[in-house]
Amino acid sequence: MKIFVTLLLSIFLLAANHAQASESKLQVVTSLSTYAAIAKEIGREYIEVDWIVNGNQDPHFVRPKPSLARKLARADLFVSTGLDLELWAPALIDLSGNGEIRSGQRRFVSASHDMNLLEVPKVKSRAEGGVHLYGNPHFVANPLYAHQIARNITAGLSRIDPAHAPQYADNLKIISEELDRRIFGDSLLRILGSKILRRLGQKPATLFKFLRQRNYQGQALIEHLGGWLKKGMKFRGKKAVAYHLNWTYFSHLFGLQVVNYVEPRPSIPPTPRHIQELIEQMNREKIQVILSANYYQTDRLQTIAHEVNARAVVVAMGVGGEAGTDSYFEFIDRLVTRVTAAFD
Amino acid sequence: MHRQVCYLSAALTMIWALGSPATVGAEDKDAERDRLRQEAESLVADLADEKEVAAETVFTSGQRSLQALNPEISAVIDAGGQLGLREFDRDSLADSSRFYFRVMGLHLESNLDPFSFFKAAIGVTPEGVGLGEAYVTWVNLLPGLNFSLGKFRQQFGVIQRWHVPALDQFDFPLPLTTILGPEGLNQIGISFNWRLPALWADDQHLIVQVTNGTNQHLFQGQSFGVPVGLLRWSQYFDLNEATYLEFGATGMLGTNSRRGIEDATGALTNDPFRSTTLAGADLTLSWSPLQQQRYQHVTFRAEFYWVGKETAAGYLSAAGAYAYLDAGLTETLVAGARFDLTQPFAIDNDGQRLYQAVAYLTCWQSPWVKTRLQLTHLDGSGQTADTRLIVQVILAAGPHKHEKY
Repeated sequence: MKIFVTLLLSIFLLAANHAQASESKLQVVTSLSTYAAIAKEIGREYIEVDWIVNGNQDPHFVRPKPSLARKLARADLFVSTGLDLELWAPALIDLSGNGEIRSGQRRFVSASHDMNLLEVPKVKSRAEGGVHLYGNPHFVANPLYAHQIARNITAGLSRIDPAHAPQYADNLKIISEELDRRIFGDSLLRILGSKILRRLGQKPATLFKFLRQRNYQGQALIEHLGGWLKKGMKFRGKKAVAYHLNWTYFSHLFGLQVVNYVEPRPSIPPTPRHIQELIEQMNREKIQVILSANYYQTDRLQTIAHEVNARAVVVAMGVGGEAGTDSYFEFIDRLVTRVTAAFD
Repeated sequence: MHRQVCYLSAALTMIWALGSPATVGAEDKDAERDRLRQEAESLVADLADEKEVAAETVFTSGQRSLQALNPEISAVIDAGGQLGLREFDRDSLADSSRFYFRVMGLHLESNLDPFSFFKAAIGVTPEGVGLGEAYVTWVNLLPGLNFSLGKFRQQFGVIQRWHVPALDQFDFPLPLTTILGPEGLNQIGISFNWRLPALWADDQHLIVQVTNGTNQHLFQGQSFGVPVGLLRWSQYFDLNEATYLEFGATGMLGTNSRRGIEDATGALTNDPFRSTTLAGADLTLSWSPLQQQRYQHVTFRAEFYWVGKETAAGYLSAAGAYAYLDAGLTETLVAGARFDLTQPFAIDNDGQRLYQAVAYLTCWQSPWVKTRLQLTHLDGSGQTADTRLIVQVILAAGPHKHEKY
């Protein structure tokens, strides 16, 4: 008995020691790789970042494996969407034993805090499929929303590491300016300023109407538009079909019309009848592009694309989900480029 | 901040009104006032205008409408039908071919405070209502240590912890129900789940549980006696990002003596101390490519159980094992097979074997509704051979779903 108690105590002390001997850098764990990429831009040399869901992985369905719980056990800060996307997260947090990263605790950051969520369901019923009660959580594909993600992460980092709060604020400014440049282009930014453009960007239709109707120094403002929005004008107003509702925010900003989905309802596998109706609709409306994250069944997409002679855009919907998308900027760049190419 | 600005603006206006020199013309004062009003108004431009409150307004209180704070509740229904295909005992035909309604499980879950949460499962069957589980867990009571208190399915191996509708097959493996009892180990007590340093593995856990021995099959039954102890050690390895290996060993020690029990006549029962010892080992190997988790997976799982029980009639020793392979073929179809082999739970079981072979196909209509077709063949020593075709429908209404890794 004595030996058993001694052994238990030794293991316990070893565990406690192991926990305390963690590195001086803050250990940040995020649910999605995209949040990790943004956190890296904010925290830089003061943090180490790890994540749970890769950019090529479906964030709805993650196996809460013990090794993932271990990541959370040593997290100084946990960033997740904060809605009902990562339903597996509470099980992992419970398993991790890290009570400070639970919802409402000081080491938890909700990336969606203060965000204008789209598609908040009026009817909350499983008859609507895998309905997201608080609104569509797939906002990472809209770079304007990255501003708020970055602000939320900055707040979390500053709260647990106030000594470096000024540096986090400086890095937030840098990433925000870079986002604005890449979204709107330098010329338009110089004329209208980032504050107004970001607000107008929340209402893209109003933004584009304004840009088309107003002139600056004898030239239409739209001529000063640059960045991703300029590139995306190639498919603004065009129609497409998507696999799942994770294109909502992207299409909202870029004016792409997603007219139907391969899934008849979110997370409900398509029936042959639905596929047939979709094919008929695509033929009827001459829809030539079908969009999907690369974690969905591509053979089903290829079949539909083949039937209607359309282009299937199968692309990572998160940072690192395919080669050359290791930063948030590269990820959005790839997304815009791939969709643009499909409409060429 | 906004309130402070309004206050300062108002104060400034008052000071100017009181102390303004008589030389300032009325026109200038009006312009100045208008400017201040405009500035003040612009500060609150985003706020809605004040509205009059109509006499007919119905005023409501939120005090008895706090449903959002209720625990999350899910209902799981497990029902279907079975057909006896081959039977030597014709008298039992009526019992083996029938529709069934196994359970409607009500699952409740809620955070209690920043430090703890609770879970409960209530089973409603045609025979009545029973408490499946109800326990509270304190997270990180000590570094890496979770502590639970209540009634819970015990962590003897892997799937003994699961509820029936969450199983990959229709029923628990034969060795589990034979050795641990038809309902398995579901007792009242405390549980320590300790995350050990990973060392050579990717994760290691030590679980210590101390419970009443309410399982009559193995221990002393409802009467309070010597508590039962369970010790489990599990190791987990990520072989690569798609594959993991987990194995564990479990031991359990208790007594099956009835001691200090008074019968109706007042006579005291004091059985001599008789121990029950259990041991188990489990192994899981699972592959599921990250990018295609919804469409492809293969899981192999095997568990071994052994019991040694001292009884008044003699020493009972029995062992059994099962193994199964479960493979996701598409987004909606999962196929698998399981083989069970066990000694009967009896004192004189030398050379006796019971075996069961199971093949199944599960169709997931959606993440919340699945239908399973299962063929089961049971045979062995002293057992009437029995083959059944089972159609099982499991549906889950509500926010929960079983998370397994």
